[in-house]
Amino acid sequence: MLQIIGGAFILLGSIGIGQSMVEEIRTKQNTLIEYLHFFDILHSEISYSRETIPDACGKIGQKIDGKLGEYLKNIQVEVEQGNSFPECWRQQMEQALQGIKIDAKFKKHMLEFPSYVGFADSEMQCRAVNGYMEDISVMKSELEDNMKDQIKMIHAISVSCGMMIAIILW
Amino acid sequence: MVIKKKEEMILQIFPFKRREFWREVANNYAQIQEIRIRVEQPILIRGNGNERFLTKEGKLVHSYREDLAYGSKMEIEEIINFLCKESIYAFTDEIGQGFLTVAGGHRVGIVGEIICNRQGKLETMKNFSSLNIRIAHEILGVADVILPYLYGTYGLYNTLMISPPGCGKTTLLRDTIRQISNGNKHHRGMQVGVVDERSELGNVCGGTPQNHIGMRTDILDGCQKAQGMMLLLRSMGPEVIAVDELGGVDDIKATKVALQGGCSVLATIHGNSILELKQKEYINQMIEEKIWKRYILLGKKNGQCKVIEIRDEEGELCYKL
Repeated sequence: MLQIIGGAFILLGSIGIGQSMVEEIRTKQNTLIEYLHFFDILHSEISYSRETIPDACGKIGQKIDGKLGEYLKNIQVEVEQGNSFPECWRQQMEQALQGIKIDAKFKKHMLEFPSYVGFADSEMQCRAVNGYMEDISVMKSELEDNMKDQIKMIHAISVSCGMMIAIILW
Repeated sequence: MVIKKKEEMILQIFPFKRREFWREVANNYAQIQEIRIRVEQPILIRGNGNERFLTKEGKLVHSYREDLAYGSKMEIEEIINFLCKESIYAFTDEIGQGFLTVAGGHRVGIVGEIICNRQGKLETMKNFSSLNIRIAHEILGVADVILPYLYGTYGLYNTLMISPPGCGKTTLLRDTIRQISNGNKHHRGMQVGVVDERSELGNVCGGTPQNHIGMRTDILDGCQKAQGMMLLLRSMGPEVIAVDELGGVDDIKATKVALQGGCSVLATIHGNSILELKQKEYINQMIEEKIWKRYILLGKKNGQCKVIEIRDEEGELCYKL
């Protein structure tokens, strides 16, 4: 009886590990969606109301729930206090992306955003934001293309690993 | 209403890392009217009829020295980028007009290389070469001297404040608006509509006026005067409409419409005398029609900005300094 219970626990444990790996992939996807959403609203704030980028960050921060929203609001507050936007952005984004297991390429790309601001023409600024949206969209589609297969594989491996360990320890 | 310390407001014009350098200037705000920064030229601080320099340590000195601070292209660009929050596209219209208005109502004049559109119309600027930071001074009570002359049997007289640049017409107008709006010992408070084209009167930041403009004042910020006056008439039912720096024919037409709508108008205009204004055809017509019931003339006496005289529609003297 104990052997059966032990085997079941081993199996559940390995399924749990697999599930946490799946959650990581979903978090990556959600992060990309969140940032895509941010740049989408930023684009309309620039083109429609010609809002400055720090003020737009503050406004969007109020609309977006969760950690990213808080960090965006902080950017506006810090710029209002006289700090430079590039510094505030880098500082806040480093914190926002801390702990999220996402590609280093994406993190680097996000931290480099201030290099793409400062255009005298709003259309140019919108194009720069569009470029960012396209890059994130590509990353998101690459992730989603492999996601289903990856999830299936993780589930299959976690179940089979659990069964194998249970059989070995029987 | 959030009213920050004046020194703080001046420091907020400059990026954080340069604020220590500008601290002494900010601390002396009461004596300062202008800060002039030009590429490769000494930084000049003007006010109270004199001119001072700034040393590399940020100290104010009266005479030329070896260790003076010089303006640089980088510093000018940093200030503009900072004021525009790294979003110059959001300020192209203002830059095209040659100035930015910042928190505290201070105006930053900008010159550089002009960019024109295909029709040859000035669009914006690049390669900025000079900044002229004009420090706004809100002086409560400055309008006390003129108030007794502004009211008649039917309320407020249409009043035109005439002043050369830098003689405090915006300051006087702001305090007059405040006192008319709040009410004073000469008259009850009135509904005042303000068209603040350059954000200098109310200095509205995020919808909140940073200056004292009175409890019965509705302020239309960043709107052209002619359009703004019409909008206020339609939407807010003001008893008085106040505008700063009447200029073009459109402004005059809108003023006449406002007068027909039953409003009193309170306005300022650049000039030295009524005689000088008569040389401008569109203003002369209003003077001839005796639309303005009071002319307030500002000028400098012993280096200080003062109300020099007040005249009525006939040109008769009501007050003289």
